[in-house]
Amino acid sequence: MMLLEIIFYVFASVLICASLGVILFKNPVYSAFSLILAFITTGLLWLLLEAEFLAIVLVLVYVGAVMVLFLFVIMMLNINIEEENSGFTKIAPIAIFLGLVIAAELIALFWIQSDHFIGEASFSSSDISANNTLLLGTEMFTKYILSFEIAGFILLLAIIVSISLTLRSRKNVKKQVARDQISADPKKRVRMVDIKKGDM
Amino acid sequence: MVTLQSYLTLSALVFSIGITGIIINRKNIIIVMMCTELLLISVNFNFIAFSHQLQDLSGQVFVFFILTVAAAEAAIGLAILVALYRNKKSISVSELNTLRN
Amino acid sequence: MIFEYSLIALLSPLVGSILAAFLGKSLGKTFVNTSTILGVMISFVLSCILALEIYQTSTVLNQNIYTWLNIGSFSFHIGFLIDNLTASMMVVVTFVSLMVHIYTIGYMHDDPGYHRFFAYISLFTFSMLSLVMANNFLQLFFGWEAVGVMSYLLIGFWYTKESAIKANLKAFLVNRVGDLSMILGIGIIFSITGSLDYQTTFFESQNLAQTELFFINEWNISALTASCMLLFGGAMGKSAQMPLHVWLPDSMEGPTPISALIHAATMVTAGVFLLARMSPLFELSSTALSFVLIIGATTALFTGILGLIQNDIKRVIAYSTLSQLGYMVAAAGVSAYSVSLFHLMTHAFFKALLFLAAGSVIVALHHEQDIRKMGGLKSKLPITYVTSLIGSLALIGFPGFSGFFSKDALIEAIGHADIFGSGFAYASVIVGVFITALYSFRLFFKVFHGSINEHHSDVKESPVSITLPLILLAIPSVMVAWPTVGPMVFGSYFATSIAQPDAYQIFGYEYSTAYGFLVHAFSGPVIYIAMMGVLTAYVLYIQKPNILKGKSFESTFIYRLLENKYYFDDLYEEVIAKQARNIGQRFWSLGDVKIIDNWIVNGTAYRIGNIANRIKVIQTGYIYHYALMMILGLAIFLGWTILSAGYAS
Repeated sequence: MMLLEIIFYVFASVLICASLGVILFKNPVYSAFSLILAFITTGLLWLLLEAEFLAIVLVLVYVGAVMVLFLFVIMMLNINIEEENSGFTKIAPIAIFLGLVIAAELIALFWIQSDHFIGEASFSSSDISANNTLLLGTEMFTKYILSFEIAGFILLLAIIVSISLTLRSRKNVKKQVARDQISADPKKRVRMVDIKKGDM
Repeated sequence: MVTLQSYLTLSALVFSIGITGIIINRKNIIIVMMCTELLLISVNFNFIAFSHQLQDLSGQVFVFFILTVAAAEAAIGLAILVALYRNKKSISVSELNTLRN
Repeated sequence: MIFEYSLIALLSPLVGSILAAFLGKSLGKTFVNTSTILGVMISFVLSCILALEIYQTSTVLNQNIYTWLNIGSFSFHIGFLIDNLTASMMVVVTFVSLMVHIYTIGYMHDDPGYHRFFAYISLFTFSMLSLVMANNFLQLFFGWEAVGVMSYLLIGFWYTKESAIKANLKAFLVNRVGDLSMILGIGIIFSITGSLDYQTTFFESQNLAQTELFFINEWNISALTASCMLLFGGAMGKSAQMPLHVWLPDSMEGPTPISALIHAATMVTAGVFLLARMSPLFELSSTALSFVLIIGATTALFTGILGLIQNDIKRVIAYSTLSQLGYMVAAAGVSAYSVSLFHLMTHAFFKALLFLAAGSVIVALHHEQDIRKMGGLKSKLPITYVTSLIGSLALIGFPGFSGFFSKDALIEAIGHADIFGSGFAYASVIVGVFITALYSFRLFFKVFHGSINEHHSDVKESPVSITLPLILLAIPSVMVAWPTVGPMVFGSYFATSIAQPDAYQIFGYEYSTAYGFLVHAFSGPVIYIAMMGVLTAYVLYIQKPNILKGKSFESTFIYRLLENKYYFDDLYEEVIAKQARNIGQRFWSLGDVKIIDNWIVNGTAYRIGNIANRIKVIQTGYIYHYALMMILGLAIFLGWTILSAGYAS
């Protein structure tokens, strides 16, 4: 179907350009915006592959949360755009060549036995006529429930790690430290002193 | 005709762009983190393509978890970055060479 | 019973030696000498019993005691072969060893290494016994080497004396040359027969004779001849035949008891024993026999001549030993093995006697060894005088003494033979008789007759521990031949052990009694030549001693040739020893210091440091360098996978 192909090629080229933009822009904010564009385009392409739940989740989570976080950090750290060492590293040509080699190899990897891949990524063949979200949920909460719980735990871990790495306490502010309060020894708080008349 | 190979080719290209980005970058570390995200979405792409090809939902479940972990990793990475910035007052890659011989 | 006796006879000197070695220092002299003498005495008594038993019943014991090693189809044992030959050798060895042990009590009384000496001579007895009792080449070789080592240790007993150290090293190295030849001989036998047992070898002797070894294209030699000559090479080293004789005179640096034990009676006779034991092999190869004969005769003559000009009392006797060994080997060369062994036995007694008597003289004169400073000791040392006289008469073959029987039989056998070289041999041994008489009585007259030196006016006879062995050895020197010459030489005493033609073939006659032999001998030239020798000595040294002093005798060519021992020592030193040292020096400086120390050991360390310094540069600390390396590795792996999986159509 022609429409399918047009959509695919257009968005594919947008994705590639956005990826290139990520690595080639000087301004980190522009890089972040390129990445956002890449995510959104990816989500659209996933819609083409009938993975609508994940496409939406991608946009919500990645763009809405992670990229915003990136931008916060970029803004927070005073990054000087006009630094001396902007530009590419000395080994850039090797790296570019290596990137091309890797791309070529990866592509060759599935063109070698390409007669095994008959597939067409079209709408017709699917008999998952049901709701992708419903199916995904069914699958995940039955077979992969353990992984689901562990994923939640990983997120908790991420929270704790982030806070513990970056929390600074202000130095000249008195705060309550619960541990010391609880472990105070009553016998050491009060000291009985016998003062006779006339001692001072 | 859009075949599976097209999707896989696309994924391979994004992957290699991400790799190149990590190596040629000299400006700051945030670019490295963003290139890591690029790598991850290219892998996700692969999974979704195969999941559609083989009509098996396990691929999509896996993508779900990859998203989760990638988000957590990005958060922690940025936390480390902030701590690093506080110590060295700079996030340029060429100044991170204390592991030198 | 024979087996148990022989086992105990073998091991009791070893036990005595170990006790003396480890406990001697702490438990004192009496303990040391009782334990070792007891060990050897047990051995001697058992050997005598064994000899009698075997003589009466003619049994032969060939038994493996212990299998040492099994490799594939080859097995190496320790075993006994006890027959007439072994038993006679055992008796001789243990008897002389016992005499020497008793003698040492007095001789080494003040020496600080007393217990060490006893341990060594007991250990030597054990080694010699294991050599003669062997039933395979491996044990023979073990005994061979062990006696070589003991000889080394005993020659260099006074190890602080530099000349002793040089002498023992010389003995060991010359022996080594002989051992190399022997190993080659054993190797040839082993490779062809596949076993080291005597019995197997003798069964296969025809096979050995037929097998040919190829050296160069057309020159081949039968395996049997080659191995016999190589084995004899070993005997040449051990029994000091020319040209490997150079160590024996220098071995006189050791104490006199061991000169008597090792270098007169036992170790040097190991070579002759080997020849007798291997007689089935030698009989099949006339080339080897001629070789043996010529070497033996040459040694007998030329070393005897050297004995004429020696001035050290022990050296004269040493050269006499060399000469007599040459006689024994020559007798084996004409296939008269029984005569050779008979002479071995009688020679053991009277030569040990002569050495011990010399020792007695040395001790009495407070370690004076130069015969030019001795004289007139006849009245001072009577027992020594009489026993020396007996020994000398036995040596020259005076009728009635034991040496007479053996020497005469020897010369007769050589005279009657007709293999290649026997003419030369006969002439040599006849002249040798004259020379023997001359030097032995020169020694005798110079030491005991003439005018007494004023330094020695207060010497007295040695203690009884020294003179007792002298007397005990003098008795067999006189008597042993009378009962034994019949069966041993003419009869079939050795028939089970030695393959030799019968007496008629050897001698041309057959006499079964000693008396008959005595009468027959007077019709031969030997006795008269010996008498002429004695007379010449008498004239030169007693009546007119000034004949030799006046002329410029000592500057003639012949005298200098003899004094430098035919320049053998110088030849060996220049050609062999110096080159060996040079090669060793070259190997050390180039191989050891340069290659191993500098290149390999130091060089490795330096090179590792160098390479590490250069590789260190890779650790830049930059993340993107590390990432590049990782990706590079990934690219290589992927490429390899793709290339090995082939291309799609």
